[in-house]
Amino acid sequence: MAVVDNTNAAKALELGLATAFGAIGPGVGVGFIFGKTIEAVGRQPELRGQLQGLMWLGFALTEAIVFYALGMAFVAYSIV
Amino acid sequence: MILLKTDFNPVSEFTDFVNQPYVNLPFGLDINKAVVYLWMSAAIATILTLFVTRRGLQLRPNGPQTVGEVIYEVCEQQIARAGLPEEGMRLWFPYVATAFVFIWVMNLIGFIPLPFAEEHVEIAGLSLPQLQIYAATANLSVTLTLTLITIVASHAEGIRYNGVVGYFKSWMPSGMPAFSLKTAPLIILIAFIEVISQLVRIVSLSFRLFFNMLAGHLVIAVFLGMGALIGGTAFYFIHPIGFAMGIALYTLEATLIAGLQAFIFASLSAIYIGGAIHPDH
Repeated sequence: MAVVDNTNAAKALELGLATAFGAIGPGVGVGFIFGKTIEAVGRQPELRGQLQGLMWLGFALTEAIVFYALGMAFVAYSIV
Repeated sequence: MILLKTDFNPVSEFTDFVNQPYVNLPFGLDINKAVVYLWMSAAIATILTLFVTRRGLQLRPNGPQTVGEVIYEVCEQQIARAGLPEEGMRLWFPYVATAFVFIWVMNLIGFIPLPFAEEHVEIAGLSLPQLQIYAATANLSVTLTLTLITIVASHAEGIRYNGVVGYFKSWMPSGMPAFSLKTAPLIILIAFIEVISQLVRIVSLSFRLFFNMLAGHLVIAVFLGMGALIGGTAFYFIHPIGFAMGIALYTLEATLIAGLQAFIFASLSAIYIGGAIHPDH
């Protein structure tokens, strides 16, 4: 039976859970952005170019929130 | 650790190189892997552009010139014109276009396996570094430096165009009530929030690029090395799900995310600088 290091187990759990919970909100947000853009293009196809630019901007701004969670998870993982 | 039967550690390739510089210099100015990647990216971005323009531009563009024109169009129409006002174009369009091309090249180089790994392999008596994918933008120092250039430039331009008082006044939203004893707490609270939001820009702009590239490379490394993580070095690529996911993520990152993050960084730079020049827009 291998000796299990509980500190590392808790740290690994922390990394996974923090990232997973941090990904829920941005996941919803990214889906919302793409869905709304498709809806808007369906209503006004001539605005497709402008809407796509805004969509990518919003996508990147929302997606970055996952990385705040991931970054904080890594910080907690490495300093504790 | 029970599952880890090998010393394969996906994180180490993003941290270990700091302690193994190629040239040791004082003040932390070591020449290490990230610095070499930065130099390579700068050289490639410059030489490719010079190669296209110095060969003589033609009225009927050939292949490389067409690509160059498309990139220029994206830089001008999508990035610069979306954020910068007309009077800022002359000074700051070159900056945002350079930032876009430079970051894009840095991200793309990160997906070509190059022999810069810390681990060495013996081939015919020579100790050669292993192939590795690594991006200079997966360093907070690189992205934070680029971010600070943008932020300092935006504040400097804001003060130059609006004056010190006018610029800091423009941080507050329009339609605020006049300053009196009754409205003072509200105004102070809003001012506090606006200052915080200006500071958060530094974090968000640098962390977005940094963690996108870091997490992208980490996820690729974890999936491609899943066999090694579970079964040991002998099974390096022989985990079907991990291998398929690794290839899929590699394709996604190299084609979409690398360009998209460069685009976003340049766009937000243009928006921040343009917003400081013309606060009312």
